[in-house]
Amino acid sequence: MLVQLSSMPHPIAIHIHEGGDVNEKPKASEPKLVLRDVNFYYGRAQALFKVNITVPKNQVTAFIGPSGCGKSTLLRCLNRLNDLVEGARLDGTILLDGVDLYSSQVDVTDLRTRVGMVFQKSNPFPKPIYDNVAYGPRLQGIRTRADLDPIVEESLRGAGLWDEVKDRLWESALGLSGGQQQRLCIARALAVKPDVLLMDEPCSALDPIATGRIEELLFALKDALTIVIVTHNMQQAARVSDSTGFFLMGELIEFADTKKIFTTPDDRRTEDYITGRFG
Amino acid sequence: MATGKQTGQFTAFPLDASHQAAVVGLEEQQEIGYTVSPTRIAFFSLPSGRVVHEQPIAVSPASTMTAIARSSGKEDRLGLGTEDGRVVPLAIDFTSAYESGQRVISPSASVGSPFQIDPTGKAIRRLVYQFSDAGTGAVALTETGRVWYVRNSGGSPVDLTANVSSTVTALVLDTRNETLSVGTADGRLFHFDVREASRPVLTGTSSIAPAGVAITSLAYLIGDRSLVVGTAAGEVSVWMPVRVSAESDRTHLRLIHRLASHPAEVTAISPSQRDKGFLTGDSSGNLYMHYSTSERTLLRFPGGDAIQAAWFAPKANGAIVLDRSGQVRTYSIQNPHPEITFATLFQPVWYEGYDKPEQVWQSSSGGDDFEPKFGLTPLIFGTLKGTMYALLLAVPLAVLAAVYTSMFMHPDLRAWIKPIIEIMAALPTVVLGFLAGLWMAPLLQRIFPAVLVMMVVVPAAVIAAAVLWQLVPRSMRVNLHAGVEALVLVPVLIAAVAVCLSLNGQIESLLFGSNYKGWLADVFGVRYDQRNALVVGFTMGFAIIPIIFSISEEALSNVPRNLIAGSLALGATNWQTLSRLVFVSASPGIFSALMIGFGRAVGETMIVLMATGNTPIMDWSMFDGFRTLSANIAVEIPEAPHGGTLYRILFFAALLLFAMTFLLNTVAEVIRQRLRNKYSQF
Repeated sequence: MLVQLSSMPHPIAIHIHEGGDVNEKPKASEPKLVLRDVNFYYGRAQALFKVNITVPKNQVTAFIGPSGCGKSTLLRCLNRLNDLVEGARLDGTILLDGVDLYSSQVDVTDLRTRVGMVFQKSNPFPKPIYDNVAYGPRLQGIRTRADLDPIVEESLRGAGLWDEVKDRLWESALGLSGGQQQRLCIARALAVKPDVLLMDEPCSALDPIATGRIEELLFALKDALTIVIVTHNMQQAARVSDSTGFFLMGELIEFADTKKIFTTPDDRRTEDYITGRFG
Repeated sequence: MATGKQTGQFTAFPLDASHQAAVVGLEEQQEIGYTVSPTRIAFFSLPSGRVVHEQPIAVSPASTMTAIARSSGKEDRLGLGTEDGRVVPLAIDFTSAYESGQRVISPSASVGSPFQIDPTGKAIRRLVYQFSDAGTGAVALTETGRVWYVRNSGGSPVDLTANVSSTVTALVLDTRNETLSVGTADGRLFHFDVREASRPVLTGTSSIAPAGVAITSLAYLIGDRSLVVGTAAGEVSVWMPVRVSAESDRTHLRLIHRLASHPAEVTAISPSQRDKGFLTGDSSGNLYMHYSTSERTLLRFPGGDAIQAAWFAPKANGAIVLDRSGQVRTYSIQNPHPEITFATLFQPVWYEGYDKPEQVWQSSSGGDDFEPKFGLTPLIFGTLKGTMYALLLAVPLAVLAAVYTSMFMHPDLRAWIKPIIEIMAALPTVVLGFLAGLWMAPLLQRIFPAVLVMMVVVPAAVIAAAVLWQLVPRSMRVNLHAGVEALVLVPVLIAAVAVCLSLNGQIESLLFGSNYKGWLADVFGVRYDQRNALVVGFTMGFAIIPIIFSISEEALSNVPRNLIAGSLALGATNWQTLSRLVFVSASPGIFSALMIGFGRAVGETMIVLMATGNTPIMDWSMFDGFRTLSANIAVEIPEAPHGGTLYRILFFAALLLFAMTFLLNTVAEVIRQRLRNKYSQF
């Protein structure tokens, strides 16, 4: 971890939601995240090459590609979690609702409450279920049970977990099954009311039934959120996403409507990948 | 446990009925005993009772002996009172020689020149004879009821009768010929200061027994401080002079120990010549063995005929008793560790010369008549005190250092810092103790005011430096290698310490008015001991920092990165992540670290041995020394006679130390398991 994170100048909060009510049905093509010429380096090794993507609001965008192609790296650039990596460096711009994420005016912790993340491996905190969900709100200074209870319930309902855990909220989250743990992590991310939810191969460790539940969840959530999902599973990308980007060796090969990518990709390499010729 | 079982057995044989002995004695090896009657001394071999040597007692001008007294002390010195008011000294000696590998003990007796104790020449009914190098004293009760005292054979006798307002029933004189006590039929004691032999002064009276119960026997335990009193009702008690109040020099006799009562009048008391044990015999023939310090009656031999005289063997491993019917009984006694009970080890005990019961460790001293004080509580206290001061320093430093190292420090720097701190643990504690005792203790004494101020100034300087660091333009800061900010602190720390040290004198005069020691004494009433708990706190803290640091750092580093990432992704700052997640997840490990550090500090020996004064006192003051169980073992085991009480107590102390750490570690492990079940994921 770097010290710079906490030693940043006093944050200037970003207030750039145009009528930022997420419940309002937006125009389909409205951009949420805009990436321009993003290059990313781990020390001397370049991991991303001139990536340009526009992620539309209230849609599910999938990043696919073989292992090590940089799709997870790109995802972690979107909430600046790569800041933690020693020697990591990014150039280019990433705009969230038109504001540069990497500008010195942006408070990283504030950014991360707006851009939530669900990890490949479920990582519930070794605390009760309730405290897991309440973790984010508590960081923002919400302390009383009266204030927290509705947030916890709403978030767990949002993640489709409420009915399963409502009677054991004070038991350790570590007692949940793998799929439940992952949905708890989604609930935890939802509890801070993000605009964007980043999901890094959220189903890779789950069985098909648990995977199906999470995919259903994505459909329900995208009314309120912009979702970016990294997946290895092309069927999953085809099922859940509205648009898809295909990455190879740190380059964005093709970014288009999911339907188009999986039926008539422009690039030969995309076609080879989705038809299973490599990867 | 250090106490063994007290056992004894006895054999008995009759004496020649015409003998009419009044005093019995034993030689050190218990091979030869003797009886003294008004006309002769008889030596007999033991245990057969066969008379080996007889010697008549004659005095010129001839007179009949009417009383016999035996001086207390190692040597067999007796005095006989005559019909015409004289005292005849009698010395009995044993010489041992080896003939063809066989030890032969030959007794001899010699009669000294008599001296007058009652100038009026009345028959002596009761006599006390006290022989010592400083001078011989004698007290006589005559047939007319008068009490006479005389020092040395040439001294002029003094009549004490006027001061005693009741029938005299017992007399006692201490071995130094300083205090004479007279017991009466109404249960009172009259004390005389006889240091000036020609002018005895009545210093006080004490009511010992309920009115009407006569004091029948009196004897001083070895050391002349504890007075054993036996009464007509059979009560046995030990009395000591205790200061009337803390400020006063005046003392009064107080009941300190009450021992098992006899069913009949106490007729004889014989103190041990090597410890605080004594024998009492009664008029129904019972013989009891008691121990004063531990307030225990250790052995009870059932009766026969009334006991007339009893004598504790010089090595306290046997006794000889003469009863009214002229039988001699000899006892052999095993009396291991009579001074030890759980109460004497762990509870306050009223020792000789103390104003109240106290917990004291003082295992030995120069004199033979010393009362060993085996209170382990001050040592347990010292152990906990040393541990507490060490942990007070080590825990915050080590845990915070671990937090910084694992969570914030640049990996390159961490790769250096961790091994360096761990190498600290490789320093032999004897080196640390040596430095602490010989270098740091005097240094700390000199710069104590500066050190005190440092505790405020150094953290303040660090915070100030951190604030200033924020003011350095960001562009400059990011260009520096991350983690360098820790190095920037080094000159700040050095400067802060240097400033404090250079202003030591000014600080002292400013805060404490020129002399901090005087100030401490005036304001808090504490004494500054050079080798004190503070020195130990610093040094032992230094010794346990590596282990606490190392385990805590490990525990913190082992918190899964994806948990930390999960927390940060929810918008937590590093600090929030640390305090709400990492610390909680690592708590079992950190707790283990603390407990291992605690165990290390409890058992630490060399540092406390060398850096404290090893004074077994019970005081939390950081300016006082202390003595720990472990240091005590190291200090005393070379001095402890193999198999003796002290030797065994030291082993018991080691067991106690083991029990403490074992118990603590067990509790710690249980807590750690519970924490782990609650907070640990992987």
